[in-house]
Amino acid sequence: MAQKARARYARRWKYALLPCLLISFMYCLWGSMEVFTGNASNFRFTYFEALLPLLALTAAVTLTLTSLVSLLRKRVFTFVIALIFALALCSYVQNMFLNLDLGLLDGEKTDWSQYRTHGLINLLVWLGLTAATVTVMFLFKKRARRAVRAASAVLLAVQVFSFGIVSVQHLTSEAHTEREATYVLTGNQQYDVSAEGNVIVFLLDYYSNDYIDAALKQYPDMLRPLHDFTYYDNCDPVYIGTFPSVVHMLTGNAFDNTITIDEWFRQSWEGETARSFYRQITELGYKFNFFDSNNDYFGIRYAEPYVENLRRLTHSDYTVRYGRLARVMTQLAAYRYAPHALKQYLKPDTFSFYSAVPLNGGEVETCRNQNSFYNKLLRDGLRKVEGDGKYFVIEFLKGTHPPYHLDADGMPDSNATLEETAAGYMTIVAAYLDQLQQLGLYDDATIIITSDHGDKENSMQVMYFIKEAGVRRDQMAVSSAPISHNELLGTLLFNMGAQTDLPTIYDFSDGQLRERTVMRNYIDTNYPYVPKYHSTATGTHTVMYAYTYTGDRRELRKQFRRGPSEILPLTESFN
Amino acid sequence: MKRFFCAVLALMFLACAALADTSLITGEVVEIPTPGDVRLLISDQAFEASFNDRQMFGALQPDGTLLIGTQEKAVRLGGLPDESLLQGLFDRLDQQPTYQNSIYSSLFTQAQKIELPADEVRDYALTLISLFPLLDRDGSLRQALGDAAGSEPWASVTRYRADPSQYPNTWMIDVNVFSPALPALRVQYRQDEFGSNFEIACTRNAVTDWDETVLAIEDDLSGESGKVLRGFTMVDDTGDETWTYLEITGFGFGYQWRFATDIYRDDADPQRWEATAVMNNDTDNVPVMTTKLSSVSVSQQPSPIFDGAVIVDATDGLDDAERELLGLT
Repeated sequence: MAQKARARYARRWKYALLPCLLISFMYCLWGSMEVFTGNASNFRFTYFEALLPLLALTAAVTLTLTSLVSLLRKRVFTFVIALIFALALCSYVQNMFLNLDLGLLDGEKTDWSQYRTHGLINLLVWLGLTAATVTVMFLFKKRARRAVRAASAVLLAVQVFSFGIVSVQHLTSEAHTEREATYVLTGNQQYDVSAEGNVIVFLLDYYSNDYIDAALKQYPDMLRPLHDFTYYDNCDPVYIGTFPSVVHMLTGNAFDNTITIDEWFRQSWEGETARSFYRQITELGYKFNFFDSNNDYFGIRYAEPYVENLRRLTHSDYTVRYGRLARVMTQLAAYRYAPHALKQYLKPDTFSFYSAVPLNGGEVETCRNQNSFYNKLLRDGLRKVEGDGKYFVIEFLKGTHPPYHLDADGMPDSNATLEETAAGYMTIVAAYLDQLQQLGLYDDATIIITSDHGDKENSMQVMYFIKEAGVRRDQMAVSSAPISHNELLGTLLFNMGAQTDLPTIYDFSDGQLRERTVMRNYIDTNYPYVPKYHSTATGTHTVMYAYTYTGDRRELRKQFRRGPSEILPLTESFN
Repeated sequence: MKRFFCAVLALMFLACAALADTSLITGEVVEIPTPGDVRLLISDQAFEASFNDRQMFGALQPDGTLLIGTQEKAVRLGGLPDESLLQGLFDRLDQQPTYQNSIYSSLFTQAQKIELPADEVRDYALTLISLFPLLDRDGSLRQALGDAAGSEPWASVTRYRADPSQYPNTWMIDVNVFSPALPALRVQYRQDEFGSNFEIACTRNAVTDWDETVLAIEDDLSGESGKVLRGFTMVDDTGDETWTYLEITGFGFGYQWRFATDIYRDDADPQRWEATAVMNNDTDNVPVMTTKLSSVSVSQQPSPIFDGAVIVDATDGLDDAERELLGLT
């Protein structure tokens, strides 16, 4: 009897293996690796560092699931393997045809309430398809198990073949071969300030000058800590989008839509303006640290000669936590395959991936991850460093980039409004300034608070506050001079005490008429889609829209509503 | 306030249409009296304008129509559009399933769409013509619409929405009329926190791609390809004053013209305002007119007098005005 039972178990095992392997392969390996190969430059780990634990997980889940399912008998067994196949088929259909564009996995909050109807319809499709698949399998009667096995084999073969293709494409692409030259920004000096002198730039992402106005209506005292500053309320960011704005700000090089992004990065960092600027600040005794937990927009490898906390990544610089990595990758696959109604419970974010592969040299603290930047600032404070030269520091924080995530006290709040988050960042900046004062380093510091860009719609201009070294005021000064981020490098050099031919914000005065142009990436379907930067996928944007205006933000808004003054087709899309 | 704004808009449309057919078509500069010669009293329900020895009134009537004219002769315009005209459409859109939008997808991620049958399009068109009789001065449209009936789709209405957490009150409506009786028509209206954008494109040619059609109209000064009116409004309340801006560009009217007006209203005293209006011939890059108006009195109310005036409908009124402008009478 026992021998017969074992033989029946072995037969069921053979029938169960392929459907179980199919669903394990999809959820434990292929679903996430497909995303990885298309976006490798956004991940800190390599193809093989992800592949090995996922292969092991796939094998373990397959064997466990097969063994358990094979314990079932007769029609229950047949029903369960048909159900597993049906779920795999539904997942496949979901991923191929039914998923909506829900945006990037960059921590942005999704308003799931918008999709209730779609979620319901999607769930009905799942139920219908599952029922139909199981029913069809049972139409084969005694051959139902074979039918399930055959169908599973076909679906598995299709996906294994796809996996092979994209793996070869990835392993032969720059995205993989350049893994050997991966760079990161480390955070071990993030709270250090120099006893010899500091130039500190707070770069608060997505922070328009319109948001200052909006927040002031609710928090009229919000800017009181900035009484020593001058507020420039007519500042043009030149570019909308962290790419290409930050690199333009740091190198002075205008974006060139006729070349690849990597080539533009190279030209920017190796150009005469950048080389001259960084040579001068080095001669003046400044060390440059740039703090951001993300760096894919940075053209980072070309910035290596200039950025102190930039490190060429070797395997000894990070630790792969294989368990966490497998978990977050499986979550990513499930997010893609699950019916729409379940996706809100499965959405991973950037920090899940970072925590699976942490940097040994210290992560850069950020306001996105439960505001760890502010928490650490309050807990440990700033550290005064002596004998290490002067510091030029850029703190790039999440700012008012959606989703709004801080309350007015700078505390994490996933339901925060724009005004609350805008005020919350001023609270954080005020705390930083307060600590500088306590260390006696505030007066001699030059501090700029600005943003890399505003909103892509009506509120494109950015806020810009500056306190020059030695300036003291009872009340914040306000200027409507038509400045832009084209003047950032010159203004920094001027305040560091250098002679410079670069333009500065002091070259412009209130009421002066100046023609400026701001550009934004856009999806214009009248132009062809182009490759995505560092990826085998097709990019999102096709063009850059340029808006030229003379005057203030109202004039820019008018031009935005008229439409672009010029359309520049892209060679490559960053997103 | 809304009615006042509608009235101003309607007047400007009328003025633009009338001028486009008369003196502006030749590129002549219209003589605008100096501000000191102009007197304009405005309330929510009426206005009174005078310059030199001429006087003109406008008044909303209890039945919703608008009388505009002098003590001797006035034109009756159909009731001004209000929200109820579109409320039915919005209610039906609300009931439609929301789908993921692939057009304008960087901002408007969600969409809902309905199709309108022939008889319903006819009813809307006749309502619109009654509001703006200039759309059908010779009556040909009303004649073409007379027999329209049935359930054949003649138009579609699509509403796009942006993520409300980031872009509150931001939506766009796109109306596309593709009937055999009416000219092809596309109307787009976008609303957001800072103002609105609108575009009305009309052509008698068959349309397969509106973007291409609009480009062709923009390139054809004669207007034979069709006409496009495109513009936007902006509103900005600084706390001290409210700035309202309107800009309209017209294509297919003999030359490309642009009309723009700034209106500043004192928040503390909304009766106090200043306005500047300019019109430009963008084809030849020459100004057509510029005028400035500002409030000088806050106590007086307009007192339109239409007792004994001859009341005519809008088409006849326009014909009379045109003859007068051309010096035919």
